[in-house]
Amino acid sequence: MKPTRCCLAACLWGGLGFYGPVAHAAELVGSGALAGSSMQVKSDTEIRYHHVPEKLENFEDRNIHDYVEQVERLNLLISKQGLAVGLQVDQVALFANRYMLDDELYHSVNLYNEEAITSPFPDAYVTMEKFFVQRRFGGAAQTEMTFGDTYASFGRGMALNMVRNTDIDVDTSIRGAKAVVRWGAMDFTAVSGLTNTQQVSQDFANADIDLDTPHMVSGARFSHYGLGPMQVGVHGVIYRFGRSGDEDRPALTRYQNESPLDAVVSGATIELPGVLGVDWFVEGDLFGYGTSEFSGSEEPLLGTAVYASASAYPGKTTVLLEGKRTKDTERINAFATPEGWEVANVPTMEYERVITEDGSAAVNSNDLAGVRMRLDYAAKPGEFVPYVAVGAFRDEDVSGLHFNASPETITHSVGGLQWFKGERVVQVNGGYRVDLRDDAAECMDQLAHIDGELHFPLFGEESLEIAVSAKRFWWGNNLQQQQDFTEMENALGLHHGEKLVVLVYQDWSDNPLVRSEGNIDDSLYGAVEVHYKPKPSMKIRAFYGAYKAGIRCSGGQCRSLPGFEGGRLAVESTF
Amino acid sequence: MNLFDRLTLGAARVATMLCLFGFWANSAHALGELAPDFTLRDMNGQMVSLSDYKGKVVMINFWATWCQPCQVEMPHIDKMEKELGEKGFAVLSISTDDARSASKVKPLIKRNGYGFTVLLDKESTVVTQYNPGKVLPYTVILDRELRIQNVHTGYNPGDEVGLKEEVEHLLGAAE
Repeated sequence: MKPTRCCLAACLWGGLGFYGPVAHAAELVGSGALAGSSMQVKSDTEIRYHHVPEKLENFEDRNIHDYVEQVERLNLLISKQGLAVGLQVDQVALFANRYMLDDELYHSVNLYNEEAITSPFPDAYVTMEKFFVQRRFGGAAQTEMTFGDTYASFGRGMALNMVRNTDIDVDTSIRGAKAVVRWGAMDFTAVSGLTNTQQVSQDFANADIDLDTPHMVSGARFSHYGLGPMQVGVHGVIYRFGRSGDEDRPALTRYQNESPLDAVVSGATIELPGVLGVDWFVEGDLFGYGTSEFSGSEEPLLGTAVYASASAYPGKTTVLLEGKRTKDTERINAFATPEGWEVANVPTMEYERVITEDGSAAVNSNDLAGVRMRLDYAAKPGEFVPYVAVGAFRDEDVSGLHFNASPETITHSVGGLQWFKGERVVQVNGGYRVDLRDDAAECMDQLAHIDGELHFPLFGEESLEIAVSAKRFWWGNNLQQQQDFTEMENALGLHHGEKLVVLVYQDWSDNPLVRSEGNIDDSLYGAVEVHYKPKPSMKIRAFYGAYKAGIRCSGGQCRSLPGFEGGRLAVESTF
Repeated sequence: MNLFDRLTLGAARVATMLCLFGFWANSAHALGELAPDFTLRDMNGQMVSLSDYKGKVVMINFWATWCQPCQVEMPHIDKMEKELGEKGFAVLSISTDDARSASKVKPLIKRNGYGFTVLLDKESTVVTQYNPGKVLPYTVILDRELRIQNVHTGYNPGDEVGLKEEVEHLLGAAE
């Protein structure tokens, strides 16, 4: 395709719509620094009509709590040999979110936390969520400097793991500077800055948007890839966390108090690929905490984490064995977790798709040891591969949301298969987990789960997709005794070629911890959705109905997702 | 003000916002720009740069071990590279798994016998530039000059037919 040529200013303003329908993925021309650059624009637009089943007293005939939300995420990337400039602008607006009668306000959904933010436009918000300038030197990027928003992860993420987690809509970057130097077999990375938490959510209802409390993060890692078969790395990270109220203070004065550092983490990794036919990896980290705010104890606290994995590939079999021992490592997230994200995570080694409120112990424990083995048998590689996995954990942590007063031993067995044959797809997983408490009076929690996806052609361009997911949870005895529950998320989809998909969803939950209500009855949710792809780079989705709330875990983090009832229209496009 | 009035007013404001953000202005667009260069380590620790592939038709495929549609798509991509590799087609399969899941990547590739190059983007460095959205898999097709010729979001069985046609067209166009 022939690129459209226009000047930078016209492209930018055109991208914002002021010049009407101009083309704006472009090769920029002129004599300035950006001459010869190329630009990509990506736009995600979503409009949601929220139906809230609650009724206001004396107004039972009206849906006063209903409102409309519109969210736009605009990404812009300008790149030229060795230089890239990126920008992410988020915008959200609420409509029909206040109910007034005779000058009296009866109900409102506030976009801002009005105690923290004042704005002449209380129902609209625009923010430059991310911004970066990246410069690469030395041909194939031997040195890479980034200023602005960047991400960093060391080792297996136990000391620092600040990356995007789009699966649960968590995106906290480090706003500062990062340098990566790759010199032959050696890598050196240094990063420093303040955390920048995503404020506008694309997936969840936006309300009570608050000021960030930035935390200071600095770290460095050195890796050497060429010591015979061995790859080694060492890293260190220092943290100084912001406190509530810090957001009102100038950035650099927030961290000038008597305790310059809150936590220091240092660690090392050793990797031995292919030694004795096995890929080996081991990482160890030490966590030093400088204040009592992490543990409530005045005594200095030291945390430790060790993770190791070994994978082997004899014949048609693939074996992955993982093990970990962590003590007081989760405390590093004490300041970030209340804000809905984490600075570092240990690999959970769990089947995260089915983690429940209780099962999150394996994710958030401060005293955990465990092993997991997964064995795949590639009967037909890439086509038919069944597997089994068994995990065993010992959780000594009984604080927080662990729902148990005595330590517990967790075993979780999972099995499944993938079968791909042309357009026929079968993916099935099922498992059973037991959390057995040391105190026999507490008994055990049990979880049985199954999920699967089938896709097969019908006739012509038509094909059918069936997705099922169900879990049944039985509680043991504990102080926070909850009733046993069942949860289901099922979908039936009819595909017409590549462009059109019609989906029917059905959710079920009688879990009292799930804070949503079905639109068909209290526990039953139904919805329909249409996906239309007018071209490969554009997707339009229209949804009407309801889905349930629930906990979702991904990347070692869990997030409690709100339910939804109403309609959504989303357009996603790349230019 | 009743619900209808509120929605009518709301709809008008939505339309204004959409115009401001270029939603309707995006009807005319052009791909064809140079793909941003990058360097990542592969599963064995070797450095790989996009610019090393100049002269080939390249498919950059972003995926993750937790993404089921990605895993359904991968056998087709592998087959495509095996069929068209000699004609100058190459696949850069970029795992967007974060560091915690890095141990799962190689076993997944090994057990399925995939032969394409797999790169690890553990710090979201490259995926942020190419795919700032949240949909996986995400596939970018580049011509021999490493200019972006098409972008595919998501995967449904059968999509591979169109992907292969696009690649064959680019291979043919350059011959």
